Amino acid sequence: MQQLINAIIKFRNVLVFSVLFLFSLLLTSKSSAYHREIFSKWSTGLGSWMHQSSSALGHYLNLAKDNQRLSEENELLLTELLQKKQTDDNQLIPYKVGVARVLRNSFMLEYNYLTINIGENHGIRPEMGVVSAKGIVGVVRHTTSRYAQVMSVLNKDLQVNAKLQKSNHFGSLKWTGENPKELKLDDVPNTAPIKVGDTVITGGMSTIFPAGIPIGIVQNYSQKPLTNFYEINVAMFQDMTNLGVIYVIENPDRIEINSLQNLSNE
Amino acid sequence: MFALFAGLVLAQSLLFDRLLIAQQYVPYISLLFIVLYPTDLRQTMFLVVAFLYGLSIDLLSVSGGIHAGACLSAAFLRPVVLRSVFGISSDYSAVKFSKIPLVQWFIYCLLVVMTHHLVLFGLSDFSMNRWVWVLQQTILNGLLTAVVISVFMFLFVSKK
Repeated sequence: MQQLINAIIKFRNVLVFSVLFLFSLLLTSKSSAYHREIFSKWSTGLGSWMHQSSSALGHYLNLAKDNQRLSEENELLLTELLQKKQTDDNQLIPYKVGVARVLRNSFMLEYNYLTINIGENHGIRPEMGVVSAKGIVGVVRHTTSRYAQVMSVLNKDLQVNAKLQKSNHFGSLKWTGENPKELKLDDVPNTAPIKVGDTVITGGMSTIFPAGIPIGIVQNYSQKPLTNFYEINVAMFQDMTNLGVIYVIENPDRIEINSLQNLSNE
Repeated sequence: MFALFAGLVLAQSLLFDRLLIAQQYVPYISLLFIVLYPTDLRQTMFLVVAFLYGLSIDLLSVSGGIHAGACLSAAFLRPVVLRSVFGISSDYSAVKFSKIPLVQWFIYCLLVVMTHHLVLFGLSDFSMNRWVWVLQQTILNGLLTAVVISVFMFLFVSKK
């Protein structure tokens, strides 16, 4: 004990320096959006590296389940491919797809993120959409050379353009931060015919997700007081607490479309 | 000492931060405080004071904690600089800044300023991508600051 105290006294300057320097780093990281971004990019890289090893074991134990899921997905993709061949003229934008595995997933917070095992080396860039076989998962936020951080749909900052499959009425889909299996669809006009059990799909108004990706079904709805809009609770098809293989989709024309839209906003 | 503290903080953030030379170089006159802080006082106390000093510049110029980190680092490495420039004897006795030759004084200033600037620009860039810029800023700004501080010293302190 005496030696410990002696050591502390001997190295007190180094200690004081380290503590205060960490504090200044903390202040710096909080100060501007730029510093926050870089900080969270670093932590994405570090965290991913640590979690890769632990998730490797999980993969091995889940192999049987994953195989089943993969075959389900293959089936679904094959069906979609066949449908696509029939209605090829509808799909005007050539979306590209990349397969990835989820390394870390959070769903307990109000602002959730996931980390996936592909990054810039695989062509992943921020603002690409992420989907699973059953529905949408999120949007890519930061990338490092080998990993990417994805803003989950269970994040109160994310809004997705969605519509009712039957009537094509658009609304914006958000998470309320409460139930990880439920999203809220706002801004659907009350003229829309709606029933419990109707399917909700992506609207395709943004350049992130193509139109027609399934999201969930209408669980219940009510009219917002004093407005002409519905408030709809959507039960998600994809269980966000159990994600395995996901797909990152890219719209190659995104930058071009966005720059055009920015031009008209100015 | 307190007057120097307050005066330099205000002078730096109100006057010298706006004094851009060749569009991008700023003399960090505030470093006079770190340079002139008495050498015979406790080093631990110096670290805390330097941190608070940097922090108050940060508060006035809304820059997070980069000045605090930089001043702290400069203060932390100052004993090493003192020892290498003035010799081992400075460990136990006060260095009388008003009596040292200008060349020695300039080298001492330059080393302290370089430490400060390297941390300052490193923190403000916060990534390794622009290390050339960091080095360039450190060296050019450092030279400028060291010259300005030496001139101040020559004009005011050494006359006493």
